[in-house]
Formats: sequence, C-alpha cells, structure tokens
Amino acid sequence: MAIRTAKTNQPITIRRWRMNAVLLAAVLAIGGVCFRLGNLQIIQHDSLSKQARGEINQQIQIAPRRGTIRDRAGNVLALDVDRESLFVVPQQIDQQNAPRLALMLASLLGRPAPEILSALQDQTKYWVPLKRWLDPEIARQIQKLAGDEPGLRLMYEPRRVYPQGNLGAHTIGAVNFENVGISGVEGYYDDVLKGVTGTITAEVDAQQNPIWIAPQQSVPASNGADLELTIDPLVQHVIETELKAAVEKHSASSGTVIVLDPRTGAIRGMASYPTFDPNRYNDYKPEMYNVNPAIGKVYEPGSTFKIVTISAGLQTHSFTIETQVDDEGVIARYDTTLGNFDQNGHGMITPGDVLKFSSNVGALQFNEMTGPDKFYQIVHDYGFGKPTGVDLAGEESGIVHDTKEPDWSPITLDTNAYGQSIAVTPLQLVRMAAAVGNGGKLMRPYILQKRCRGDICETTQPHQDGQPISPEVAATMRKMLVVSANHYTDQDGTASTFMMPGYQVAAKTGTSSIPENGGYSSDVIGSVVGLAPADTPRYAILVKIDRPQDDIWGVLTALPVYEAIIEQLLRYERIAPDPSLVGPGQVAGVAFRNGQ
Amino acid sequence: MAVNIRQLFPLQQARVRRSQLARYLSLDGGRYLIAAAVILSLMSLISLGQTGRLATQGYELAQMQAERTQLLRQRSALQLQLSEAASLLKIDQHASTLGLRPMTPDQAHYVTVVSPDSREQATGDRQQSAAPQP
Repeated sequence: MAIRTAKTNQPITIRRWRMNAVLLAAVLAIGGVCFRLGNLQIIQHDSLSKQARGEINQQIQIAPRRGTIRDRAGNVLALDVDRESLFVVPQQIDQQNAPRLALMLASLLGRPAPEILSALQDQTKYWVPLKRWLDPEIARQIQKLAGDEPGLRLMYEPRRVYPQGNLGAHTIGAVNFENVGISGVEGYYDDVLKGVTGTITAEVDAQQNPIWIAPQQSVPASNGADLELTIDPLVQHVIETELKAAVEKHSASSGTVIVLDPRTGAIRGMASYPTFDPNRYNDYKPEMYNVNPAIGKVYEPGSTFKIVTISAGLQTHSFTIETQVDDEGVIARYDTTLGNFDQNGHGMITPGDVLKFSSNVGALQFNEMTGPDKFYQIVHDYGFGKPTGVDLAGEESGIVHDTKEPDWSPITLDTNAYGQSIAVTPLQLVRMAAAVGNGGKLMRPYILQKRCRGDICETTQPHQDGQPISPEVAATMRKMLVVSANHYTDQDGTASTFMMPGYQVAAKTGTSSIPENGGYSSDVIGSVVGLAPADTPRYAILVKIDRPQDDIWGVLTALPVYEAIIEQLLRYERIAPDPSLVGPGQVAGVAFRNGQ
Repeated sequence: MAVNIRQLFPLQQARVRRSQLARYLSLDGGRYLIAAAVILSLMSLISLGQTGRLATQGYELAQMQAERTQLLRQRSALQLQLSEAASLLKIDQHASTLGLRPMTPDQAHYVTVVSPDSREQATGDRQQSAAPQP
C-alpha cells in the first residue's frame, strides 16, 4: 500500500538583488534626509536661526498713556482718548470700485472725493492716511465699509481731548499732532506728561500677539503722570465770562484777568480773551495758541505801578504817610512837562492821596525823594525785570531801565513813578499786589498743585521768593488802597460809600499808553489791580482790558469787571458782609458799579 | 489509497503553539528600543500637551489683554462724557434752557449760626464770670 503524504510547500524565494535594491533605495532616502537635516540644523544653523528670529521675533512698542490734567476740584481739563484713524492700502483696493468708494468716504470724512480717489489709486504708496481721529459714529459707519473692502484699515490712535473746550485754554495749552505739548502746562510739563514707551521683544504670531511659550524680554511702559492744577473751576468760569462780556461790550482788542491766592502764590484763575479751542488749535494763528498774554506779553502798567512807588518810599523810610508834596497838576522836569492824566492839581497831598487821586505829579515827587538806587532795588525785589518762575511755558521778563542801563536818564525815574517807560507782564503786576496782601512776602506763582504717578503723589509747596516790604508797610499800603478803591464810588465827596458794600476791598486803577512807532498810540490799556478782602486777602486780582473803543481812560471798562468778579468770589468764599461797611443807598454784597 | 497520516491533536497542538508564543515576544535587544521609543513618545506627548496648554493660555491672555484695552478705551470715552457734562459752561447753558437764572447779589441772605462748641464755651465763660471770686 502506498502512503501518500501531504505535498510540502515549496519555499518562496526572493531574489537577493531586488531586496538589495530596495534596501539601497531606503538607505539613500534616509541618507538624503539625514544629510538635509544636518545641512539645515548644523551647517546653516546660524544663518537660518538669524533669519527666523528676524521674521518671528519682533520688538513691539507699548505706547504710554499721556497723563490727565485736572483742576483743583478734580474736573478733567485734558485727557487721552483712543480714536480710530482711517488708513488705506491702495494695492488692496478694488480699483473698479474706487470711485464709488471715494464718493461714500467723501460724505463721511468731509473731504473732497477727488482727493480721496487720488489716495485710493496711488499705487506707489503702501500706507496712506485718510483721516485721523474719527468721531466714533463715523468710525462705526466706515467699519461697515471696511468689512467689504480689505484695503481700508482702521487703527486706534490716542487723541488729546480738552472736554472743557476753551476754558483756561492759554493756561492748559495744547499738544500738536505728534502728541507733543507746545504751550502752557502741556508744554512746560511735557516730559512729565508723556511717560516712557515700553517694549516687548518676543516671538509673535500673525496677529502680532506675543507667543508666551517663547522667551521674551519686556520693558513695561510707564504712563505719564497725572497733574492737578491750582485752577479753581468756578473762579476760572467767572473771570472768563466777565472778561469776554467786557471785551465784546467795549469792542476792546483783548483782555486778561488773573486771580492769585496771595498766601501761597497759587493761580486760581488765568484768562485771556480772545481765546482758542485747544481741540482744534491749528485753526488759529500760532500767536494765539503759542503765547499766553498773561505771562508772554508786556505792557506799561500805568498808575497801578504807583503801589510800587509809594511802598518803595515807605519801606526805605524816604518819606512817611504824613509827608506831603505839592500837586499842581503839571510839573516841569528836564525840559519836559509832566502832568496828571487830567492836568488837574490836588494841592498838598500825602502818599495815600497819590493813590486816591492817582496823581502822577505827586508820585514822581515822592519817587525823587526815594531816589533811583532805593527805588530800583525795591522794583527788583518785587520781581520786575525778570521771570517770576511760574511753571508755564513762554514767560517774558519785562523791561526795567534802571541806572545800570546806558540809556537811563533821570526823567526815567519820574516816569517810572507812574508806571511809564517800564514794561511788566500781568502776572508780575498781580504778584506785586499779592505781596502787599501777604504781609510783604513775595510768593512764587505756580499752576501745578499736585502730580501723581499711580498712587504716589507729590504736592507743590509754596515758595517765598523774597520780602520786598515789611508787614507794617504792607498793612499801611492795604489801608491806602482801600481808600483808593472806595474813592471810585464816592460821588458826593462824603467818603461814605464802599466799592463792595459790606467788605473792605483794595484796588488801584491804571491807564497805560501803548508804545507805537517810537511814540504812543491813541489807544490805551485800562487795568485794575486789587485785593479782596483787604484785611486778610483771599484773592489778588488783576483785570486788564486792551484798547477799549468807548473808554478813553480804560478804567471805566476794567473797573466794573473787577467789581463783578470780587462780588462773585466773596460770595463763593462764603464771607459774610459787615453791616457797618454799607453806605447809604447801598446793598451789602452788591458792588457799586461805576456809571450806575 | 492516499491517507492523511498527520495526527490531529487540537489541544496538544494548541498547547504547543501557546508554549511557543513567548518566542515571538523574545525581542532580545529590540525590547529596549521599543521601550525607549514608548517612553520618548510619552514624554513628547506630555511636553506637547503642556506646550499646547501654555499656547492656549497665552492666546487667552492676549484676548483678555485686548478686552482690557477695549474696556480702558470705553472708560476714557465715559470719562470724556462725564467731563463734558460737568463743565460749568454746559451746566450754565443747561440751567438757562431750564429757565433758571443766577442768583442776584441782593438775594443773598447771610445767617450767623453759633456752633454748639462755641455756645458751650460761651456758657462756660458766663458761669465762670458769675461765680464768686475768692
């Protein structure tokens, strides 16, 4: 019997060369990969790393926020808000749609359509600004357009905004389009307000967001310091309202009012008219927003300077309050005739009478008793002829021709006695009055009350610059100035009325001529400087009205403004009137208005 | 006649196959390679997971910063509105449209109020002066 066994399978043989070929191909492929890897990772490591870092690593600047400016009550005077600005990338604009787009944008942006069309079609430029700082509503409407048009880009940019409009414009100043302060507080404190730009150097993604897993270097931004000014909002509002009304009523060319706290030198109000809106400063001429007339323009102070003349004589014991000189209305000096404003004489007059009658003849005679050396010493002690040091940009020094000047002559001493041939800034003059109200202490005027960076605040300390007159002379001057103030209301010669019934207020008026073409113009500057209340003054005030057209003396323009201001400020300070200081027919707290 | 003489012992054969199974698992040096690959893979997965989480958190952080920036913008805008509304000029104008007018100086009435402290002091002074002197 035959035994059948299962057929055994034949072994599968693969020809060796095919295996070798596959193996070789695999080895070559892997070898190629390894070679490429080695080339990229080792040989070209440095150059490729550098290239990658250059593309991925970026330094992003972190813009600091400009500090906020507030007044004494905490109201915001200037702050940064982010507003969207419209830019266009012409290469990404659908040029067939460009004319239609230009028309739509023209109505939104308020710019001519051809101008916008030209920007949309300018292929030579990559990034073209169309309009900066759009109103939020307009930005929203353009956002809808930008959704369909990738070439329109909206980017946030910080914009300096002044919510109070032109209130205190000359004092606060303005910033230009590069956010650099150019005048006022914005200019003087620009370094403090602008802060320090920060940077992040890191790998970024396509949206320019830093990738946190990669190492990064960051320098945080330091926002600008917030400033609080000494300006009182109500004082500022009152003086601006009264000044504007007076300038317009009398068709004057301009005016300035300053209110100082005599005890510290803090500026409670500083106004000039005409003024400007810092939100659109470039709509005005540069001399409007670059110059603060309160500190940047000089003028001859006129009879208000008699306060210096009399106080200089009393301080240097050149005469006393009982010394008398003969005022005949005119006087001859150095081949020239000098006289009172109305050429009327007042007979034998005391220093107090010089202020009361505003006698030029009396003033120059008393000044001759004082002598040039002592007089000019006191003038310089009062700070005239040099900047006050106030923390505002653009302060002038004024002009004082003393004996050291080569062109000084003795007649200059005489004319200086009644405030001519000498030039001062309004701030210098009101500071002088403040010294009289502060026991003779001359305080440095300042506008910055406090600066804060985060929670760390630094408060300005009042600084005394000098003591031109003693407290006794200052008290005497205040008494004489009260008589001078009340004299303006004394219509019947009984001296029974008061400029501000219920209060003792001090005031001295002045009419200054305006130098022009080597001589003097027919126009004048009317001014009043004073203290309220006179015994413990809370305010030193200067009112100056330039070239009023219906008042040849200027005084009748400036005096009612002064009275209206002190009327409101005394009420604001809650100072009760004294019934014993109310004259017949007068009402306590109601200023006697000249001409009424 | 052809016969299949192969003996079939299913259980035995299965037992033999099972006993030989370990042969397939005896990798010798290869086991270490596989173990290393597994460990490396695990480490890579963990690292990848952490990196992914960090990247996600970084993205969320960037989103929150963008949100913060937006809120700060809104805050500035509101501060601006508040400042404009608090402007004395605006208040003056608004008051005028409501028919209000500033108080005239003669309408001010000043009332002197004696504070309790000064009243007590004054009373104390009077009692002291009324007391018999030694």
